[in-house]
Amino acid sequence: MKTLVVVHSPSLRAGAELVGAARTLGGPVVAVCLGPDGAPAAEELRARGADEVLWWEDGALAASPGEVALEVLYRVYTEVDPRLVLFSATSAGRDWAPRLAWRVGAGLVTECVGWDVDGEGRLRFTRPVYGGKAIATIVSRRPVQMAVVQPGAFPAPPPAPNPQGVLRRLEFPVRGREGWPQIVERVAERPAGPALEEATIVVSGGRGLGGPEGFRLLEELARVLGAAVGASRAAVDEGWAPASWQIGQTGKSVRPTLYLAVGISGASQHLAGVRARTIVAINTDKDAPIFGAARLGVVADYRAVLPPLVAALREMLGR
Amino acid sequence: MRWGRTPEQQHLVDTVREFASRHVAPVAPDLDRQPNPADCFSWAIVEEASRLGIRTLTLAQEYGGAGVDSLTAAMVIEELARADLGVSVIFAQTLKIAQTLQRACTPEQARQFLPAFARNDRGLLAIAITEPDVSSDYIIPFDHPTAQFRTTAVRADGTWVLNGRKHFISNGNRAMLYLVFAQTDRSASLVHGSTCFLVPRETPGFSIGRVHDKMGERLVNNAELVFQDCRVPDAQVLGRVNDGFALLREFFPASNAYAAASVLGVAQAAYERTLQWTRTRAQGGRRLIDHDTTAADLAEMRMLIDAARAYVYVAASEADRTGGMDPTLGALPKVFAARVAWRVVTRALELHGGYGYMRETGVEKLVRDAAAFLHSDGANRSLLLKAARFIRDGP
Amino acid sequence: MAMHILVCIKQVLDPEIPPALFRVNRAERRADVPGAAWVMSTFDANALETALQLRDALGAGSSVTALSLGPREAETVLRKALGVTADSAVLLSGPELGGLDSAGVATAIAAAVRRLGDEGRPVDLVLTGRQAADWEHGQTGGMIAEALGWPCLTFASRLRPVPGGLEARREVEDGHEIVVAHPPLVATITNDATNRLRLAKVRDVMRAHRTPIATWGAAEVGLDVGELAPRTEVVDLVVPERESHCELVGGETPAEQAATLARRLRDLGIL
Repeated sequence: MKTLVVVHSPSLRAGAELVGAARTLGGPVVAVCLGPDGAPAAEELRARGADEVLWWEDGALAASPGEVALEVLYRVYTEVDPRLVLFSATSAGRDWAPRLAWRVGAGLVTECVGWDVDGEGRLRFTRPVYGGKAIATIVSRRPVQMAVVQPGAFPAPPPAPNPQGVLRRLEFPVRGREGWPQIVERVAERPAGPALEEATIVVSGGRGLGGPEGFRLLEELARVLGAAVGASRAAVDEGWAPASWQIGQTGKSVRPTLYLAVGISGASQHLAGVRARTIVAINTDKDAPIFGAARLGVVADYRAVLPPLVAALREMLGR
Repeated sequence: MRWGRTPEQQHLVDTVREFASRHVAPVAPDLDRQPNPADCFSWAIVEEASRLGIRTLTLAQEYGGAGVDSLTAAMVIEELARADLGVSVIFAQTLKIAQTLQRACTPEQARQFLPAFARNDRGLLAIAITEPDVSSDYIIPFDHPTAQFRTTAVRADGTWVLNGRKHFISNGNRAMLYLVFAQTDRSASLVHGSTCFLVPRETPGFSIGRVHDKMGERLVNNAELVFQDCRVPDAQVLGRVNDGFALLREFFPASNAYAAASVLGVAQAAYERTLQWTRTRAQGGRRLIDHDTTAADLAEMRMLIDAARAYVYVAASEADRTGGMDPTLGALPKVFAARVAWRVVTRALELHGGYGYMRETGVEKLVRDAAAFLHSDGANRSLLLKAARFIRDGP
Repeated sequence: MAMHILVCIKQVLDPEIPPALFRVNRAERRADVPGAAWVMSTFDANALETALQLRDALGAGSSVTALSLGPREAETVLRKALGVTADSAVLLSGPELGGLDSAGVATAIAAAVRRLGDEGRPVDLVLTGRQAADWEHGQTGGMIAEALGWPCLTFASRLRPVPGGLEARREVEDGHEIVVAHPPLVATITNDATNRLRLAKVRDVMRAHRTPIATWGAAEVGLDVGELAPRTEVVDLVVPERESHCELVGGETPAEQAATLARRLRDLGIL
């Protein structure tokens, strides 16, 4: 089965995971990479096992990424003629996949966390639904299958020392059309610590914080732990944390070793974005669902617990 | 269970639930704990409810209200109480007095008072009957010349002059307009010798006394009212002179149902809390709800609450029927709902164990709140006596 | 500039049902929680609020139509939309419109948009939530755009009118973008501190129940069943096993609990 892996270069690691996953299915793996720094990105994807990497880099993408990408992808799809197309569940992948699926008449399954292959070589995709309360298995009934896959669902393959794949820069221009949305400004919210999706420790705050000041305490804790700071949807809706901190399957998905949930009730939509080895919860409500998912819990007001916790950790970790 | 609500009524109940969860539930525990009773009251809640049209729910549409019927009002009152009893009572009083006012007032009185009530986002209403020496006497009622309001209204200089003191009056220190019952015929009992006066807050000779420090139901303020040569013109007699009691009988039919709806909301809140608790708390190797005795307790709570609600709905529906309603519906629904609520909240307290006793859990507040309705809107035993008289003397 | 804004809202099973109470009917591959509430999908509520704010900013001549595809019971969420002052409502319903996948839903909604245009009420902007609160596919918005041949703006919030078009904020991984877009357009809406759905006023609720809701089946929007054939199929649905072993950290005071927690984290090798 020929697979086309669609990569947005800013999310290169996720793209590499999909190349590795595609390899396990057998058949040629073609990657198409859109975005800045296309050449090194293409090399990286080839090193992870792509038989061919097409890359397209043009200022037009920065202005109207959705519409421009669709034009490029449609053309690439027509040339490559894959049976399976994979996207990463990033803002770009989630934007492009439904639209390309419609244009080419493919069956699309989104937010996949895995798959298996049935007797006829069809993929049966699994994904969480109902905020993670249930797992669905979904198949495409069209000849071409498409999937949007969660970062971290598959491991990134190790880079090969002598990759054999072909690199090819796509040179066709895409003219912007009148009526296409234009990005006029990009505002980066660079976290003070590590990026949420990459962090090994995440401390996260929810409605139980009661206000934005709670997040200042969390930031202090994060500094001591070298952690990233996240938020539940409730905290973002209250305006206490920016949307880029939102964790949940509608925000970022995190895969830390330690996830510390402070003042978070643990509604399943939030936890669906958390794949942590250990969850620790601090909450005044002993009935909060978070304690059902946590390994360690403290039933107390975070305002009274966090300062001595910061002090104890500072001493313990020598920071 | 949809309780026979129309889609519109269900939509209103859902809207009030959303209002309560955003504007009442988050602040109620802290307000309840304020030591100074005047600090337990929130104008912010009243103003938001006014903005949404909850405060003027029973005011006719021609005056800018929603003009809903008594059954719909009872549903809203219960839903508010589910979040906090005091907030429910603030509006239960205002909604029922607005109904009474509209049914009993003259066109001139309507012009004088209703538009001002409509446009004031802090416009609350109070009814002043209870006095230090007069409470169940007017509930039963005790029709004997020795049973008289100590607050009197005498004629002087072509007007009425009120003197006396009321206490325990809900919204007593917050209302813009008061319905004040005073003795106008000193030779008769309060049944045949009292008159209802419309007294705006700023009337000279009328002042607010102390705000009572209550066991529960703290988000509504109850206060003393003091009348010292308070002059009220004839034009502000509501109904007929010496016939104040008819006002209560004819124009207040839903009062008992609204009181019942309020305390029922507390029972519902206690039941829901207990259901959640017993589903998660485990002792004896299983969840509390998986122990038969506890499961039966919950079923009993459910049974009592649902029965009380059915009684409330019938009474509220009948209150609007022309041709009058069965008089026992003006007495017994509150007794039943209050007793149901007391049983439910005390059982809830018991099932929560030590946690229920700790203030932070919030269950003891429900007990303190429900206790108000052992006496409020008529002591239960007085209401039973009242109903017994109808049964004894009626057809 | 005046705009006719169409907001697509879905009625879903209450997303707040606790995991312990959630059940599925595996054979029928659907959720099965008798007595649970049915509510407006969470992000669709954000989309509705966004539409109302945009309409109010645009002023006279602009309107919001709420549209839902579902069984007759979905009228309840349309009444909710009318109750917060949506100007009109349309229900897409009928036997041919049951059990559709995202592509089928997009096809039907695009057809409804075309019918509105034919009726002299052309749609300038279609808003959907970024994903439904039940199945969370997140495909419908983009597919509606493709079906109509319109551009699509995903993960948008804070739409406001600017000369010649609309300005929006788009949430991306490492921050946000400010985008200028021009109708006709589809936008999928994400949650934000500014777009929690407003509370309904009593009078608007009562008016909502006197407003007729147009009901259209496949025939009324010019669709035949073949166009609605599903492209995907759910072949299994299960509730995963949940094990919970939570150790509650003890201590007489929060400070003691904090110290104990730090120690336990070290002892368990977590830190």
